[in-house]
Amino acid sequence: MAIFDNELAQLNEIILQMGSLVEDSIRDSVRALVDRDDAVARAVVVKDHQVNALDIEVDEESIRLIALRQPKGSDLRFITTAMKITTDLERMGDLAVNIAQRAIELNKDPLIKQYVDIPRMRDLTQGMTRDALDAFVRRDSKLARDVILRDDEIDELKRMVISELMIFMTEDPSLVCRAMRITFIATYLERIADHATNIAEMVIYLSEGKIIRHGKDEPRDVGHEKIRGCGPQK
Amino acid sequence: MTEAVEIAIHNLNFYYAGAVQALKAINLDIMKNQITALIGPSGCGKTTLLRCFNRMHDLYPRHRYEGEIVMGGRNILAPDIDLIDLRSKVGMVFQKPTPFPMTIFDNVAYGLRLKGIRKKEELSERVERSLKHAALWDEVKDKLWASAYDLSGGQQQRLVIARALAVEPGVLLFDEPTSALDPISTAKIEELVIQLKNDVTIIIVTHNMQQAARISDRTGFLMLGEIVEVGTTEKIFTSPSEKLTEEYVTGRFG
Amino acid sequence: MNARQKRKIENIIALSLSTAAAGFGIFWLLFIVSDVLMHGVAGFSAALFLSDPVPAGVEGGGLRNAFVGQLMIISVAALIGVPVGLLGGTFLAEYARGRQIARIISVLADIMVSVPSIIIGTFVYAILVKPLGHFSGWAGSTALAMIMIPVVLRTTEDMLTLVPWTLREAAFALGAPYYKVIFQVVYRGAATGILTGILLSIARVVGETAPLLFTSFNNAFFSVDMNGPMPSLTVSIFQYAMGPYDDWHAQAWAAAFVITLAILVVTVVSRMIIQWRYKK
Repeated sequence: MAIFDNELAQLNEIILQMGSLVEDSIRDSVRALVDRDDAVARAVVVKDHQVNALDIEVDEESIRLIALRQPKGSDLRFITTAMKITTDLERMGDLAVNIAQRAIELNKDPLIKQYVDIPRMRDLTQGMTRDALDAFVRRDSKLARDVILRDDEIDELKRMVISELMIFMTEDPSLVCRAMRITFIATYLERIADHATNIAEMVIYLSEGKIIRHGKDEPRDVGHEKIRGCGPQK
Repeated sequence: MTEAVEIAIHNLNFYYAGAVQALKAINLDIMKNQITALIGPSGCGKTTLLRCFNRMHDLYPRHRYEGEIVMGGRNILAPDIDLIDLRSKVGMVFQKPTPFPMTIFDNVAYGLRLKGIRKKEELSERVERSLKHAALWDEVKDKLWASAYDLSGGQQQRLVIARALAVEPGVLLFDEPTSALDPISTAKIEELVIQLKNDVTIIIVTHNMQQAARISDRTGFLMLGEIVEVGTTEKIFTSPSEKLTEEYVTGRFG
Repeated sequence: MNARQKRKIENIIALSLSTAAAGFGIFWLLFIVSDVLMHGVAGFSAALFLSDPVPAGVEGGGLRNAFVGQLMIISVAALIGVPVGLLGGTFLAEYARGRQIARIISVLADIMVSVPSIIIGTFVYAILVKPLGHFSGWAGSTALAMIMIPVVLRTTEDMLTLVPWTLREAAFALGAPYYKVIFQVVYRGAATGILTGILLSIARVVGETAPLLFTSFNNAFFSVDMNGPMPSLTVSIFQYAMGPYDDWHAQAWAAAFVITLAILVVTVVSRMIIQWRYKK
């Protein structure tokens, strides 16, 4: 039905809009930290309202379409996926806000050291987000699977960053506040990557009809929170 | 969006054969250029209500109207209304496709000839226009002089729609137009009806709730001759106000 | 013997009996038809159609007057009977639908269909011949029309009732008044059936003798004056067959053959119309 096809296309548009906003927020939130620019950070916080509004819009429209159009097959998977993806995107937006807030706090104090790993994490995360959204647009399950595999890298990076910061903290306790904040930022970035992975899993469901969340049917290493340097010293 | 009221029903009561009350205190606004669906369990009065709009009940003896249906500033239930004129303004499509035993061309031209249009060029032009409007032109343009019975069920129903459109009514009534058709023909007719609402106001009676959900802008739910709830289709099917409506659309009864 | 064998034997018995009965009936039918055919063709000549009867006892002559007279009587009968039957059937099926009066008229028409035609002839004698003092073609046509009317009326009523009510509603919904609905839509829908009914009623009266006997009588001379006795084929056959002369007999056989052929053709044509119409 022509009118239904239009509505599906519009729904797609809104999701892409949301994705684009979230990508920008991720990029800008870390930029606010690296460039030590509070204005950028505040802009990220404000932009999140738009992201939230789009999330609500997608939910309402999806329910309306289910009630009125009785979607079947890939249309049904698309609409249910839309609701789940936008939930992930909305959380990613919130996490970007958290990063921005930590950035504002950190910008008041001198640097511990030059930020190298955080930007690297950001680049990886942003790449995963962009690819997950691309995979969604093209219903490309191959690209989606690739995104899922990259999650291990982020987890590894996060462990590295935190281990390094722990060494700094034990050597100089006055650094603890700043170090903790950077730890949080690393955690936020890793969580954003997890959400991107969820989106990728949704894309696989959408294009193949297979649910692989929670490691069903395709084993996936669920990141173990092992921090080296903690635990009984040998 | 400005919504204009095309037809307003005030306190309509209807009695069959003088005594049996089929409609009770109906109040309803039909919006211009929108599709209004009437749904409800069997015997709830939705077809009875539909047939009031073009006074089809007048064909049968001892019926009684009470109340008003106002269209174009006049109460069409008044005894001095010219029924022939009313029925050229309010067309009807029935459940079973009912083409006349004539050629395809003569079928569509029937209403025009009733109005006194005789000139061949004008008839041809208007017949073509109606058939295009009903999305049937391409399939019949080479066989306008074949019998209407040569067409398939879905095509016959579209022919009937073209016939009704030819006289350019402001309102088109559909009485379960797809219940005798296969799913593909049904889908085609539904698409057609959605497009038609740009030019005519449409009232459709259907016992198929999903169809009402798919194509209508507003929905009225009737039970036992009364309107239980009327509102936008989205509201009726996602969060109706009345418990009875909720039970009906969720399939708990009826 | 078991049930299966018993059933088989019963089946064979029933089949044999019905075949024998059918054969018996068909045998006599073929016998009559072939008899008429043989004798009729033997009496065929150009003179049969082109000359009028010659005085009794004289050889030769034909039945031209009878052919022409029969045609005239039947045409007038149809002109009276068909419209009356058609409009009557329309009244019953449309305007009086479901009403008591419709049922009464319908039953009466059914009764009239089976009234012996001689009684109708006698009745018309009493009202159109005796008061006027002479036989007439008009009286003959009237008698035949009275036989045709119930047939046409009942067929029309049945055919019109077969047209679905929704077709009428569709026409009303376009703004047509009732008479136009009937003439333009319902008649067209029932046309084939009504036409068949008319043809069959004509076939029915083509072979009637008794009603003409008392009304149009017969005429040995060529006449086209419907006010007086009219020559007719059926009565001529009756008279010639009873007469003493051989060539009268021959002419009677030939005339009988022509009538049989005419009825056959009319019946076959009406069947062909149905087939052609409903083949689509």
